[in-house]
Amino acid sequence: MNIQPGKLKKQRRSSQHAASSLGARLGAVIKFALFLGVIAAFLNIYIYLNQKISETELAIRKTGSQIDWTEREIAQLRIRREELSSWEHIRPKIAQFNLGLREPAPGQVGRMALLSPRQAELVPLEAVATVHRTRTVGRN
Amino acid sequence: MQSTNDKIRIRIRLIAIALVPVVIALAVRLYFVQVANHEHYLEKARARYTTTRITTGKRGEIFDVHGNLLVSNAPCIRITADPTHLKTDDLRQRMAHLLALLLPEKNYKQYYDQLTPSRIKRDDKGNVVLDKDGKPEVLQNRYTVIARAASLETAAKLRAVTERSKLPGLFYQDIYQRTYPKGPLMSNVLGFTNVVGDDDVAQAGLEKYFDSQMTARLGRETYERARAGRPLLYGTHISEEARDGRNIYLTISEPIQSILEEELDASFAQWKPVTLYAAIVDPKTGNVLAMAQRPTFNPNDRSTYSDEAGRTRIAEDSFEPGSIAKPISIGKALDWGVVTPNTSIDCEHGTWIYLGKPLRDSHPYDTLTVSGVIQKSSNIGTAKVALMLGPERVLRALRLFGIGTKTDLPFRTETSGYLPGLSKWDGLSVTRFPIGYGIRVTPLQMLRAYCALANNGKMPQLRLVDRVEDPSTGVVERIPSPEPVQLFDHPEAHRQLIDMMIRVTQEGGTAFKAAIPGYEVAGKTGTSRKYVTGRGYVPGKYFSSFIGFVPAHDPAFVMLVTMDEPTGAYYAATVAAPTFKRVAIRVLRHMNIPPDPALLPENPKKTAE
Repeated sequence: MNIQPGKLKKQRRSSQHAASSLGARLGAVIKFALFLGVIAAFLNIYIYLNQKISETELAIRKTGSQIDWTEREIAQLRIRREELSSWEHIRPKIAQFNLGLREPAPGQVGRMALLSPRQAELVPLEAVATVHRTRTVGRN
Repeated sequence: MQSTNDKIRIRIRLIAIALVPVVIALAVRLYFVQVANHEHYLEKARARYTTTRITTGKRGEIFDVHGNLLVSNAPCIRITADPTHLKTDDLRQRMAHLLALLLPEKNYKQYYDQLTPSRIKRDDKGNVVLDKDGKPEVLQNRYTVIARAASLETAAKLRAVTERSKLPGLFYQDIYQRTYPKGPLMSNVLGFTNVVGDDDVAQAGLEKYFDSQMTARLGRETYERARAGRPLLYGTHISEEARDGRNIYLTISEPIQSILEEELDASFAQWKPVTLYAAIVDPKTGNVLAMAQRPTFNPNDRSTYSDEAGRTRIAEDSFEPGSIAKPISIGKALDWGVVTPNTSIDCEHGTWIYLGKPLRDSHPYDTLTVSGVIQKSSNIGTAKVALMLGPERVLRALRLFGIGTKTDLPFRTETSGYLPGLSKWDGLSVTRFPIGYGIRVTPLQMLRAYCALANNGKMPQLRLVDRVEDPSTGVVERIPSPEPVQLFDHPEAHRQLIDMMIRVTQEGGTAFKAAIPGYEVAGKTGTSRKYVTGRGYVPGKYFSSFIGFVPAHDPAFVMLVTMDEPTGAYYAATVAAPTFKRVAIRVLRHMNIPPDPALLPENPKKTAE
């Protein structure tokens, strides 16, 4: 007969306790690992976002300087346009290309009122295209 | 005997005893660093990683009334170099070659010399500073200006090439350079600026007058920076925006100004006067439409500048106006009922001795009506009308028309001319002042006086600035104009005077050459001898002027043309009146003012069509 001594109640409790203690420890380790994982994830996200912010910031600055440059080019072109539209510039060109242009007689000049679409809705079509003479002929 | 454990305990205690003061010392230090002197160290740290960047706005621009740009700021790049970055002579040579190729203002040798890594120290006065041994003190050459204002294209090209060739040491700074897109147009009025350091310093003209308004306000950005110099997202960031200077919109119309300048060039070449100036004013509003003078200069090319060319003579110079002053006294004599257009005046056959001094007319006349006095520009006739008025009323008339009073246009150098009070008059004054001798006026004063004649007797305040714009907010401030002052009590007297002045430009008048077919021109010639301080009236030197308005009864503009010492001829009718006519014809066309068919000499029906 194979007689094995039965576990004492105390021993049984102790082994149960050891098993539960191991489980608890394992659980704690897992929890801790999870906690570390979460922290690591947060850190990664934080670093990733910071990197993105930094990259975006760099891109903003780059675009900003491109805008600045474009604005400066526009300013330069605006000045150039004014130079080219001055009479000082146009007069020799008329002579150079023998265009034969001369100033219009007063009767040849009319002024048209150009209205925005919204204004035009409020004004009859025929009135929009009316040519206005600026002054009347003769004495007061 | 002590056990091992006891020994260990003793050692631990000894170490603890030794460490406690260290820990206490550290704690104390920590307290002082973190608590007691916290602000001090924080400031010190901040000073290391906090930086301040100064930003500049743009100087205000000047436009004509229609928004055409007259003065602006051209964006350009200042290129500087730190020669210590070029470690070898080969690099310096390559850089100098490249600069000479892309920036040909200087040659290879000049650039190479500039890129020398050391330089001799000089004091503020430019003297060489010597060291203890008496040898010139040598410094590292860390800053040299390669180009003060290179174009954007050139700078971009240079940057690309140096980056590709791995040539270090060049730095690029965005700057603006004052520029005048229309060149010499109106340069005497607009003025100019000089660059002192990094700033535009106004020197003359409107640039100087409106300097405080046009000057940009500096901006300041203070931030904590990363190692690369970029601002950190967190931390201190104080930013005060730079503000552009205010924009000035003039009453000047660029097309009219261009016409005037072109015709003045032709007259200047033809009559070669010392000075020639002209201005056009809208008499109803007092708006100055054009204002020009010769000689002039191009503010973009300072080699064309001279002190004489740079002055705003039309506001600064005063001269004896001669006959163009006559309508003032005669107009008021009509208005006060002293004379009528038909009152006969004995013109003494060209020479009249009054108080022992002769007064002459350019042509002898026996009797003229008051109307004829104006038409023929009789000195004797005008002097006799003035005698009928008396000194008090002559002075009152001249003062009413603003003689001796500044026009208050925005010129720092404007003078008020000369009109003495009665206490300084002698017996002859009453006969000389009304014919434009003994008094001095500026061209602007005469224009203002004639605006009153052209504007139904109402004298407007002259205006050169129409509005001021704040480019940051877009707010536009219109410069108000006071109500014109009525100078005539009787409109009929004013109308009679205008009719007399129309006859001046008709057949038999002194300024027939100012007549324009299809329009009635009211005007007056004035040829006055030139008075030079210390020399008196200089023989052969004259001021020749013509001032008039057109159409006479509903004037679009008043124009004055004055030549100082014309050569070849000096009568205003010969030199100034034709200039007036040429300008007036083109300006009338530009303003789209049609001729009166009834006034056209031939085939009026055809022209009217």
